[in-house]
Amino acid sequence: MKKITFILFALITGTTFAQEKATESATVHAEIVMPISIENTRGLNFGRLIGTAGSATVASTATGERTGDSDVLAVTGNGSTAPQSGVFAINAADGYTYSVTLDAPENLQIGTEGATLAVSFTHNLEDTGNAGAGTTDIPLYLGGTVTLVDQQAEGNYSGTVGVTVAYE
Amino acid sequence: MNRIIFILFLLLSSQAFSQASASAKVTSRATIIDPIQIDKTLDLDFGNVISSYNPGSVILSPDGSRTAQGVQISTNFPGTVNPAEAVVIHGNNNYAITLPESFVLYNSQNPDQQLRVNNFTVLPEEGTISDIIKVGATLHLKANQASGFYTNSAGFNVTVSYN
Repeated sequence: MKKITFILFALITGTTFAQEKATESATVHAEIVMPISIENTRGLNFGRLIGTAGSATVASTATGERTGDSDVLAVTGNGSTAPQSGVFAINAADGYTYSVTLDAPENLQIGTEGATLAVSFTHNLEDTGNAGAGTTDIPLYLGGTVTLVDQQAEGNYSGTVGVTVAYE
Repeated sequence: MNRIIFILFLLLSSQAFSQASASAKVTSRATIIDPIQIDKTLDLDFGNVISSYNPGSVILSPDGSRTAQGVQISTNFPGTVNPAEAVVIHGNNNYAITLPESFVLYNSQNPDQQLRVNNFTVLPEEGTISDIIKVGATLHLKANQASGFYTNSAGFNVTVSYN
């Protein structure tokens, strides 16, 4: 008799549980943000300088005006290239902010083992908190200052500056 | 229910034939429990994810934390981030949770652009007669995934059933 009771109980309870279920649905959202990008469109050029003690600065503006010690600044011409600021185009999502970091050398150099020329760099943006503008290019102008020593070695000096932009 | 009555009838009647007279009592019991119930309180939101030139994914854990693999997530602008949340009323009975294998989100501006969601995970916060369950998942981005708002109004199903 206990067995019967048990079977009956099992059948009743088993049936009750087997059909009990409930379903609810939830939606899913995600917002995909465009990747940040930067492209170099123009190199920074300090132009032709006279190799004597002093400095020359190219402004971090669109025109890249060059200023400095008159003894250092030479007139353009005779095959010299015009001083100009470096230009980068940045694309970052509208409504987001990004940081700018320079990976800059302390010296320009003739070739890989030649004389060096002290240099520092500036740019027109803030280090942090720059606002994105979607697919509209945001210009970053790279300027800098070179500091020459007396009897600065003659030659073509060059270096590479890395500019990194990152969403904050 | 018809089947249950039939079985009981056979068992009792077989005893009646074996003796001239006999009686027996059977104690029948039934425990009725409330139907299991689930009510959603929050949708699942992966927040803002920065697309990349390579494929990547974002794991949203049921505790609400995000882990990006191959893509970036902005710390200053995370957007709305939360796992799905629902209340399960179970009356202190055991139950099982069934989650989908995968789910697809569509770009609101261009439905051809899609995101795949899978690896749903669940974390119950257990109570006496009801639990709060939180559901996370993994969001997969393709290389150069188009920016925009992705969703799927159909929603994904979470089914709870008594064991």
